[in-house]
Amino acid sequence: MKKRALHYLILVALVVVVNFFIPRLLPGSPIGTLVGENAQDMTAAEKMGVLDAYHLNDPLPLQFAYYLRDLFTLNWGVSFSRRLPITQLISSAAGWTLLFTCVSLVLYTLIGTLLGALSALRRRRGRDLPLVLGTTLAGSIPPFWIALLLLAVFGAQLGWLPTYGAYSMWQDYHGLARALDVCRHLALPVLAMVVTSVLRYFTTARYSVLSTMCADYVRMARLRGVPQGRVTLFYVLRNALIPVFTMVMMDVGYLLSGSVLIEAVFSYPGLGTLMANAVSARDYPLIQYSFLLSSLLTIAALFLADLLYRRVDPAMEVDHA
Amino acid sequence: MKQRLSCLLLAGLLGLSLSACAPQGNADPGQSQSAGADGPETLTIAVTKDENTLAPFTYVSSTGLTVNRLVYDTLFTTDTDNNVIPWMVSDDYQVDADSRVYTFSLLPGQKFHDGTPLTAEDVAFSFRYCAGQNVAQLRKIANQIEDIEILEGDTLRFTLKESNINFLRDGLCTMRIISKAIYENEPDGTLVTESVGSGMYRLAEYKPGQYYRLEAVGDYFRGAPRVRVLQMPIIEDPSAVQQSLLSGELAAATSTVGTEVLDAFRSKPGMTVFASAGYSPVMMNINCGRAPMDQSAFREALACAVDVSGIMHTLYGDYCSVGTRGLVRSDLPYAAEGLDYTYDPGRADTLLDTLGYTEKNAVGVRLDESGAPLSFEILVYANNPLRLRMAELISQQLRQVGLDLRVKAMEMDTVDAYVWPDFEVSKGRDYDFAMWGWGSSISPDYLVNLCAGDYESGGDNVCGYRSDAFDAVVDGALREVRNMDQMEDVLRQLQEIVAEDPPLINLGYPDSLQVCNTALYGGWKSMKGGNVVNVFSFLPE
Amino acid sequence: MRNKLVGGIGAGLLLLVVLTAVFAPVLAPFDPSAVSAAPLLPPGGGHLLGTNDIGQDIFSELLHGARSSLLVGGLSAAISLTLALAVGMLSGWFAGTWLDRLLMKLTAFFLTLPFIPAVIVLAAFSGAGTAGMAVILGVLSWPETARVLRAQTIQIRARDYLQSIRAMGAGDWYILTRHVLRELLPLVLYQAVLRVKSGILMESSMSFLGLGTPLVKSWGSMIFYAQSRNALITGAWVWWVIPPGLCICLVCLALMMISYSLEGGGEEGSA
Repeated sequence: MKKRALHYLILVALVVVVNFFIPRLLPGSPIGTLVGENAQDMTAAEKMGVLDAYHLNDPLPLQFAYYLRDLFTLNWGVSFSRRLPITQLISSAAGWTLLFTCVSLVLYTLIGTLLGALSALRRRRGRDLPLVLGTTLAGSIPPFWIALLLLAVFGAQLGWLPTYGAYSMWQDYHGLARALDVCRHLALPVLAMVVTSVLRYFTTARYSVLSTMCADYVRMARLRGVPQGRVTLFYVLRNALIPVFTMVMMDVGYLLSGSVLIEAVFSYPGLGTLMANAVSARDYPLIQYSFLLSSLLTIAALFLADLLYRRVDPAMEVDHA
Repeated sequence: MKQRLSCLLLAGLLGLSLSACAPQGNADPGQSQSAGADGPETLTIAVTKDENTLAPFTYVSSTGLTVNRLVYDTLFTTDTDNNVIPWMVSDDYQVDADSRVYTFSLLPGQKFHDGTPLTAEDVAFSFRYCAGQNVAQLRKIANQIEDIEILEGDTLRFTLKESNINFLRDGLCTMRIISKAIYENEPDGTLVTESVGSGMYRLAEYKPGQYYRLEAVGDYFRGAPRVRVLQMPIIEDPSAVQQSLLSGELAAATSTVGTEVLDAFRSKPGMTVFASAGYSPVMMNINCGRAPMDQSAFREALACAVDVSGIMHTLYGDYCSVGTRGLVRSDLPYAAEGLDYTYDPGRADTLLDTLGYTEKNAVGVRLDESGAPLSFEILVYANNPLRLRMAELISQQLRQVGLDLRVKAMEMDTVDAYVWPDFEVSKGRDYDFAMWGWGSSISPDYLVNLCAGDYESGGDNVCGYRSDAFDAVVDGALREVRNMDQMEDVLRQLQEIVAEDPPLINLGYPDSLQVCNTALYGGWKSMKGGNVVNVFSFLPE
Repeated sequence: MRNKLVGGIGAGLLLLVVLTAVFAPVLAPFDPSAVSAAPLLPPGGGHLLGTNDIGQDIFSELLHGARSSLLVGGLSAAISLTLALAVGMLSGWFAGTWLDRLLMKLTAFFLTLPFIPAVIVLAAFSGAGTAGMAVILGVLSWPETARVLRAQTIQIRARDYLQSIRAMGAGDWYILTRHVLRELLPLVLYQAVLRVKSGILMESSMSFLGLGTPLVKSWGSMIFYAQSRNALITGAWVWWVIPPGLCICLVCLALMMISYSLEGGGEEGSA
C-alpha cells in the first residue's frame, strides 16, 4: 500500500516536471501575447525587457525554481493572455466543465453500458444486430458535425434550446428557475457528447458481458440451477462491469479536460476552450497550471481505480507469483 | 422493442439532418423591441474572442480594438470613408508645415464613465503612460513624442521627435485616452481591472469567457447613443455565430461571413449584408534570402506563374480586390497604375529556362545546378481553410512550370516561429514560402515596413527582401517628404521598384462581409476597411 | 449461419471500399486535385456530386479519398492497437508483478500527457505530414485501450481452462498468443472500429483544433472544408458532407459486422 502510494508520488513528480517543459517545448514564444498584435512596433531591446520582467530570459533551472516556488506557495500569478489571476480563471471554468463532463459521463456510461449489456443478452436470440449497427452508425458521426447539427436544428431553427453560454446571460434567475435554465443550456452539449461517446461503452460492455456469459463459473451456476435472472444479474453483470469500470475511471481522470470542440460550438465557458486558447496564446503559466491540474486528476483517478479494483474484482487477488 | 429503438435512433438522425436544410420558420427574434424614439432598447452582438476588460492594455486582437473603441475615445478617428476626422477635439486643430507640431483643443463636456471630467491632463498622461507599457502599438506611438505641453484651457501641443506626416492617422486615431486618476499609481497597466473610458458606451459588466454588457452613456458629449444596451456574448465558433445570426438571436457580430452564405442571408427578410472594402492583404511570402528565391528573375517567374486574379475570384467571387505588383491596394490615392499581375506561364517557363533550370526529372520537376529537383514547402496556418486552398491552387499552378510546391499546414504559432521568429525580422527566418496576411495595409508606412532592407524601418520585412533601389529611396527621397503630395510621389516610386523586383506575391484583399439584422436595428453604418460595430452605427444623427 | 452472413456482408463492404481505393484513378471521372469547373456547383453536368469550394469534382475526391482515409485510419489504428495489445496483455497476464506495475505506470504517464500541446510539439518535430499525424494519433491513443485490454485479460486469466492448460506446463507466450489473444479478438476489433473512425476523422478534427493537415484528398478533409465553407447553411451538405460521412459510417459498420461475426458468445445455447 505504501509502496503503491510512493509509485504514484513519483508519477506526480514526473508530471510536475513535464508540465514545466510542455509550454517551453512549443514552437513560438509568448512575446506576441505579452505585447499585443503589433509586436514589430517594439524594438528587440524593448521585447527583451518585457521577457525579462516575466523571468522568461532566465536560465531554465532558475525558471524551474520559480515555477516550483509558485506552485507550492499557490501563488500562480496572472495569465499572460487573460490578465486575470490564474486561480480565478481556472476555478470559474472548472465549475462549468465539471458540470458538463460529469453529467455527460453519467449519461453516456449508463446508456452505453445498458445498451451494450442488453445487446449482449439478446445476442443468443440473434436480435441484437439492429442495436449494434444503430449504435455504430450514431457513433461514427464526426463530433463537431453532430454538435453543429444539434445547434442548427434545436437551437437556431426550432428555437427550443439556447445556442450559446452556460446560462441565460441577460436574465437574472434564482433558485429553481436558475437550475432549469442551466439544464436547458446543458442539454445540447451533453447530447452531442453522449452521441459521440456511447459507442465506446457500448462495445466494451457488450464484449465483456458476452465473454462472461460463456465463462465457466457462469455455466456452472446455470448448471447448478441458479435462476436465469440471478445469473444474469449477479454473475454476468457484476463481472462484466470491471472493464467498464476501468474506462469510467479513465474518463473521471479526464473530467477537467472538457471537450474543446463541443465547448467551442456551444460557447460553453469551460476549461477545454480555456486550455486550448492558452496553448495558442503560448500563455506559459496558464498552460502549466491548467494542464497540471488536469494531469493530477488523471493520476488521482488511476490511483483510486487501483485501490478499488481490489474490492470490485476478486480475480485481481490472484497473484501470479 | 429495442429493435424499434435503434430504428428510431436512425430515423431521428436522418430527420435531424434533413430538417437542417428545411426552409426556416419565422424565428422569434427574442429581443426587446421597445425602443425609445430612435433605436431599440437592447441589441445582442456577438464578440468572437474574449478581449479581457477591453482596456487599452488588456485587449488581445483587432476584435478587441473594435469593441474597445466604443468604450474608449480617441482624439481623432477615421470616418466611414476612412478619412481622418477630429473626434474629441475641435475642428480648428493645427499641424505645422514640418508635420512635427500638433496643436488642438478638447471639446467641452467630456467625462469619464466614473463621472470625473476629462481634462488635458488626462490626455497628456495617456500618451506618457503608454511609453512605459507593454502594448507595442501604443508604446510606439508614445515613443515618437518629444514633448506634450498643456496650453491655456484644454489646449494641447504635441511635439514629435521627428516629422511624421501620418501621425494623425497612425497615432492620434489609435491612442485611447485613459483616466490619470485610475492609472497613475499602477506602473503595470495590465493589472488595472476597472475599465473606465470616456467613450459612448460604458462597460457595465464583464464575465470572463462569457459576455460583455455595454450601457450607453446618457450625457455623451456627441449625444446619447441610439441603442441603450449592447449585450455582447463571446462566441468563438464561426458556424455558431452564423446560425444565431440566421435565427435572429444575434443582431450582428464582430466577425465576417464567407461569400458562400451571402445568398442564404440575403434571402432572409430583415438581414442586410454589408460589404466593405477590405484592407487586410493575403499574400504568398517568398524567403528572398534563400536560393534560388534570392534571384530576382526567379521571383519574377513565380509572379508570372501564379494566376493571382483567378485564385482570388475562385475563392471570393467578386467580393475582393485583386492584388497588384505594387503591393498597395489599387484604390488608395497613392497607388501606382498599371502594375497588375499578368498570368503568363509561358514567360515563367522562359525565365526559368534562362536561369538554367532546363533539365527535368521523370515527373516533370525542374532540376537545379546540383541535379536536385526544385522542390519547396509552403507553410500555411492549419486553421485557415481559405489560405490552405490558395496554397493548393498555387501549388497546382507552379506544377505547370515545373516547380514542386508541397503545402504544409501547421499550427499558427509554429508557422510564425518559422517565418517570423520572436516577431523580430532581424532574427532571420527558416522557410521557403508561406501564406501570409497583415491586419491592415492602409497606412502609408505599410510598404516601407514590408520591404525596407534596413530592419529599423522594415519591421515587417518577413521575406528578408533587400533591394538597393528601394533602400536608396527610403534613405533619400522619403526623408525629405514634408507634405502628402511628395509622400504620394515617393510611394509611387517605391511601388514601381517592387513591381520590377517582386518581394512576394500579393494575392489581394478580400472584402469584409458582415451581416446585420436591420429588422432589429436600422442604424448600422458600414465602415471602409472597418467593422459595422463602430461608433457611427450608434451615434445619433 | 447468421454470423457468417453478417460477417460476409461486412467483409464484402470492406472489400468494396478497398477496391474503390485501389481503382480510384480508373473510376474517378476527374483528377481530384485539378480545378475542373466553377466552384460550389450543385450536382449535375458531369459532376455527380457537384464541385467543392475551388471547383474540384467532389465525386472524384470521394473515390480518391478512400485511399488516404483507409491508410490513415488503418495506420493509426494499427499502431494504437499493437501497442495497446502488447502492453494490455502482458500487464494483465502478469498482473501484480513488477512488469505489470511498470507498464501501468508507463500507461498512466501517457494518459497524463495533454493532447493538444503534445500534438503541436510532436508535429513540429515530425514535420506534420499526414502519415506523421497518423503516427502521432496512434501513439497518443493507445493507453486507454491498453487498460481496457488489461482488465479483460485479468478476467480471462481466471478461466479454469486456462488455469488447467497452465498446469499442464504450457508457456506464457503460448497461452497468450493462442488462447488469450483469441478471446480478446472481438474486443480488439471493436476497439479497431473506434480507432479507425478517429483516424479517418483525424484530418477534420485536428484541423478544427488548428493542429491538423487537411491537405490530402480524404473523407476527413472533405468534411472539414465543407464545414468551414458553411455547407450546412448553403445546403451543399447534402452532396458534400453526407457522402464522405456515409463512407466513414460504411467502413465502421463493415468492421463492426466483422467483429460481430467473430465474437464467441452467440453460438452457445443458440438453440
